[in-house]
Amino acid sequence: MSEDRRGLLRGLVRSAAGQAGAPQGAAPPPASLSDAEIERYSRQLVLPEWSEAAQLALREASVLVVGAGALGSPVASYLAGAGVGQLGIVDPDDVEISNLHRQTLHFTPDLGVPKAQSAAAKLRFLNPEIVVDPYQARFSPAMLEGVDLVVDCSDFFATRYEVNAAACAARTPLVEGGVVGLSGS
Amino acid sequence: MAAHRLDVTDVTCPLTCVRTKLALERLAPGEELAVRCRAGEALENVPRSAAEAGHDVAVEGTLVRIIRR
Repeated sequence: MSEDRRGLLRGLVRSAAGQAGAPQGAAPPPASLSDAEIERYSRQLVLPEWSEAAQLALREASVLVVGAGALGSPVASYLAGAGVGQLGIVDPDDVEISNLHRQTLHFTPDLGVPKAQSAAAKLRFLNPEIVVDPYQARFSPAMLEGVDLVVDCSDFFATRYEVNAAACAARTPLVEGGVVGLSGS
Repeated sequence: MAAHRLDVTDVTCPLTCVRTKLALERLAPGEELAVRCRAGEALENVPRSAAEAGHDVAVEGTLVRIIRR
C-alpha cells in the first residue's frame, strides 16, 4: 500500500470515529453494537486502528457504488462486509455470460437478470444487517441525495464526467478507480 | 475508584480481546477494568493485547486488571 493510500485510510478512520462523536477519552457514544454485530465485525474491531465508534459511524454511513461490474463487485462486497449501513448499487445493464469470469457478484443462474438486482441479492446474503438499494438505471445526480461517499466503478467516460460533476456540485466525496486490460488505477 | 468489571469466560479468542477492547474504549483514561478470563488461551491473549495497546496490565489468577491509558 502506498503512503498516499495509507494516509487516506487513516483519514477515513479518523473521520469515521469523529463523526460518531467519540474521540478518545470523551463520553461514550449514545449507541452501541449488538452482540451479533460485535461477532460479525470482530476481526476489524480488534484492530488498533478501529473502534466501536468507527464501526457505529460506518453503520450510519450511506455509500453509492456506480457500476456493478468487475470493479464494483469487490468494492461493494467489501463495503457490505465491513458494515456500511446503506449501500446504493447503480447499473443499467443485465448480467451476460462474458461478465462472469471477473464480475464476482454475478453467477450463471443470474444471466439476464439486471446487474443491480443481482448484486443487491448477493450483498444482502453477505450482510443482512445492512440496507441495499439497487438502481437499474444510469447514474443521475439525484442519487447522491443523503449519500456520504460515492465510488465510481463505471466503464463509460460520459458517466465518469457526470458522476464527477454531480459529486463536486453536491460536495460529496468521490473515490475513483478504473481497469483496462491488466492495468488499473 | 471501583474497577469496572467484564466477564469473558463465555466467549473464545479473539472475541475475548474484542470485548475487552470495546469495554476499555468506554472508560476514561486512568479507569480500571477487571476482566475475568478462562485459564489458557484467553488468559494469555487478553493481557498481551491490552499491553500491546499501551494499557497497564496486571494478572491475578484468572483476573486481568487493566488501567486504561
